[in-house]
Amino acid sequence: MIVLGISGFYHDSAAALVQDGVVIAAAQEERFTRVKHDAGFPAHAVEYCLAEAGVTLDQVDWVAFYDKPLLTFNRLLETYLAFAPKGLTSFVKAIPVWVKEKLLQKDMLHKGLEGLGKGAVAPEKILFGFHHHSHAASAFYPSPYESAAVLVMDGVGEWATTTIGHGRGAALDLISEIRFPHSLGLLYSAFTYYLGFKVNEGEYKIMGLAPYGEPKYVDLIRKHLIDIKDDGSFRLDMRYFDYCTGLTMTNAAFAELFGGPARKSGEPLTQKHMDLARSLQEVTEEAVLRLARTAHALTGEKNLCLAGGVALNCVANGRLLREGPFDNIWIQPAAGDAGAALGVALAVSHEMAGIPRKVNPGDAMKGSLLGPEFPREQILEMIAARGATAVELSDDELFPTVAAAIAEEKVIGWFQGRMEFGPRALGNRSIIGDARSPRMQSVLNLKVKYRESFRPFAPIVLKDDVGQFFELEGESPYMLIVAPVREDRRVAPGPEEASLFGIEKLKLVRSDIPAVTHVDHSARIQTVDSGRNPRLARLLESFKAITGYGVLVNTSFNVRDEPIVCTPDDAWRCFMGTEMDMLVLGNFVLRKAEQ
Amino acid sequence: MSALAPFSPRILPLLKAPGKSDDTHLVVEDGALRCAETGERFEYLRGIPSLYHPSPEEGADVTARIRSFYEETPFPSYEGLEEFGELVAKGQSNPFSRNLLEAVGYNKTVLECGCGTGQLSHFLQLNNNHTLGIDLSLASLGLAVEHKTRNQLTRASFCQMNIFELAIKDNSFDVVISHGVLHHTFDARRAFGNIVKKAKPGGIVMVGLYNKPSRFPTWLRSKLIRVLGPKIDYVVRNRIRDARKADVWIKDQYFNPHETWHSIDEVLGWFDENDIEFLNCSPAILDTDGESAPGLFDKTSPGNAYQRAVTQLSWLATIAREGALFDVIGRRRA
Repeated sequence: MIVLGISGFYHDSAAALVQDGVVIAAAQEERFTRVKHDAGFPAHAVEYCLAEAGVTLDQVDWVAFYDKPLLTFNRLLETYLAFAPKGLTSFVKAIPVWVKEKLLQKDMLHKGLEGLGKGAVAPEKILFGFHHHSHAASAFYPSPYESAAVLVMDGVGEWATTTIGHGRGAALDLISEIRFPHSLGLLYSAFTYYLGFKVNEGEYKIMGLAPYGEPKYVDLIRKHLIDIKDDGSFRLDMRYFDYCTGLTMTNAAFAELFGGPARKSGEPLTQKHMDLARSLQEVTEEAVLRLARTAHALTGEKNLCLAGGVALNCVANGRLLREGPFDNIWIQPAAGDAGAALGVALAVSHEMAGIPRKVNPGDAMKGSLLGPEFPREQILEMIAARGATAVELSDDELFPTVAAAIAEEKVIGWFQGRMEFGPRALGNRSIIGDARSPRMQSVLNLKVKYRESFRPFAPIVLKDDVGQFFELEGESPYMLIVAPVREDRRVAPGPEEASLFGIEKLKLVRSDIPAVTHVDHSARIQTVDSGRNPRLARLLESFKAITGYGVLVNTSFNVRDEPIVCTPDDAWRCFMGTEMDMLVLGNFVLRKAEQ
Repeated sequence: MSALAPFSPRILPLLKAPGKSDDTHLVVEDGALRCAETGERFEYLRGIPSLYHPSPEEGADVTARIRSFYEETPFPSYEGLEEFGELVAKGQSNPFSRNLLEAVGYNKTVLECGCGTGQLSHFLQLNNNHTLGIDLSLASLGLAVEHKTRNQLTRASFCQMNIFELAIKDNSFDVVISHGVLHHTFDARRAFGNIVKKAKPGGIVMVGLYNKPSRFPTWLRSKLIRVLGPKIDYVVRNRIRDARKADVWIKDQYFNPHETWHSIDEVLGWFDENDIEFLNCSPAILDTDGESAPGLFDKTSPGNAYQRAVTQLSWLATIAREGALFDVIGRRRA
């Protein structure tokens, strides 16, 4: 039984292939087309999934799309009607696209699939899932739990913005929801817009900015913008938002409430922006905690599964783990819409086709390493085509060589095995550096990633060593939990701190692993084990053998505003276009000084 | 912040002693460059390597006026681009500089004649390229070196030189660029003849100049700007947020002590004189394959005189509002 899942036409197109209930392949279209958040028909991703499984469309039993386009259209239409005639300008602009493309989605999907030349698919084999059911399925079915509560939070699907579900065995029921326009995701996006970042991609920058601020505006936000009930349900006061009727997220009333217009991209960040980010983060965490308590009460489960864009808020996840009512939490690494392609394929497999679900004690995501892999021959071809200088090392030479270079503060492009599915690089398409180095943070930000200097970096740490460095028990294999650096590793930054403003504070050393310690001593942790990623674990062990530290900096292999690299040639171009010192492609080592 | 070597190891061997033959070499000493053959020392000026060698009498007044203008007004300014990451982000978001970097490619040596404050030289040293920016203005070069030091950039080098007396060996660079500079010299054609010799046979030459006739509206605005104020400039209205940046742009565009205007055909004549094959023009010549060429250095047709005349007239409605700077790209015949 082969099911092909597809998401797209809104943002982050992706495809996933599930065979007899087992996840075979999944990838986002942006990685192939090199267009960030590519929203077109995911032709390349579908092609890749079919190739990985070694099948054609003729052998695919079902094609499943992650949401119901008619319902989404209905929501748009009703929203416009409810606010008419105020929303006429955006109505005129938005509707033609929806009429032409979204309503004809079945037709477009069919044409797109047949256009691949990889076999035929009958239109009646194309199914449509519910947006939040797809998310919930992506959270529950691959999870390591026989049964669990499921919490989905995002911007908006068809109507639902927040959904509580209950998964048992091979069944998943949605039991409660909050509907548009009341949405935690859209509240977060509204502030993202107001603080001058791009909606749908700048949200995690707000989360990174929050620790620089004070929660001065929590009361203001809760008094005017969002009313959170004890059970976590909430209502937004739509007088401050513009996303129902307009083309922006916030309006003049919002600007008046916070005493000024929205920051424009490129304008300097001030303390007020940081205070707003911190306040928003606190409000979001409060709502998430209350929702989790309700999910716990409704299901009586001790396990929680999370998905939807808000589940990428790893600071909230960390609090949920420490303060929430659940014993265990599992978060779908592709928590955004891309992951819903996988979710809908799993839902069709288990719920429609009746395939029994086998619970994997780790989880069924295979470390989220579900994308394409490039064999030695293809890497060699690229090296020859580019005239690059490379040496091939055996594993026994490779790991100590790379570890030694890292210990000398070299920045390494680390390209191994299958590409990650989801927004995070988990050690197969990663840039690696020394977490102990006080200058690594600014070197990476300014000379490799070319991004805003306030943004912190995340550690990878050997699973068995996580307790030596961080106040975290258990694992965080997908970099979705934030926890503090242990107190005994912290150092006082000294008197100069008082004289530094805002983001300048990031440059001060706060622990013996300063490159991954945020200003509030928090760290976004990825634990590494040899089951999920043996080569990354071996690199950490080699580094530990030299330095005594089983921890490194890991950041995604890309530069600002570009998708993470996919092919060896993408990796080479990124390596050459930045100040990385070394590129490791499988067992090949390229040194910048020798190019 | 540690001081960096003033010249990258791939650039230093391409230099020679000013006014001397290509057989001379320079070595870096404390606060000076020294000719290995003659022992002559060339002291740094205000901390900047200088191989400036005066021209003969001719044109000296223009050179002096331009020099003092850019000493007072280093161009372009670094406001908001102090961090290299910001400069790269700006360069990548600008289609011209992004395409230029793409076309230059990887591991190349690039000479920028008239680098000003060095922003383009800094950007083009991405892709493991090694760049040398030369300029007349020590104030501008000072900002270039400051950016280099602050961001510890090792592949961009800077030196004060006279474009008519280059202390660079012939046939030495993969790419030679002069973007918006030669029209401020006393003889753009002669300056062009000087710089192209520094490209390797088969190397790329790119020259950006004020266009005749489409610079005319800028000239007209320069007569009105004292009365009407800087808001009559499109770039100030739409692109620049910073007041100091706007001031530097206005001075460079409207109060420059010397400028000349040039047509595409004139540049094609220079190409012929120097045995340079035409590759492309930016913006493209209308109705030629240049309009659809994906790469800035792709071989395209220069079109006919009529097509070029129409193209330049059309620029009155496009690039004229931003100063009417156009670039012609060619390859030095092997």
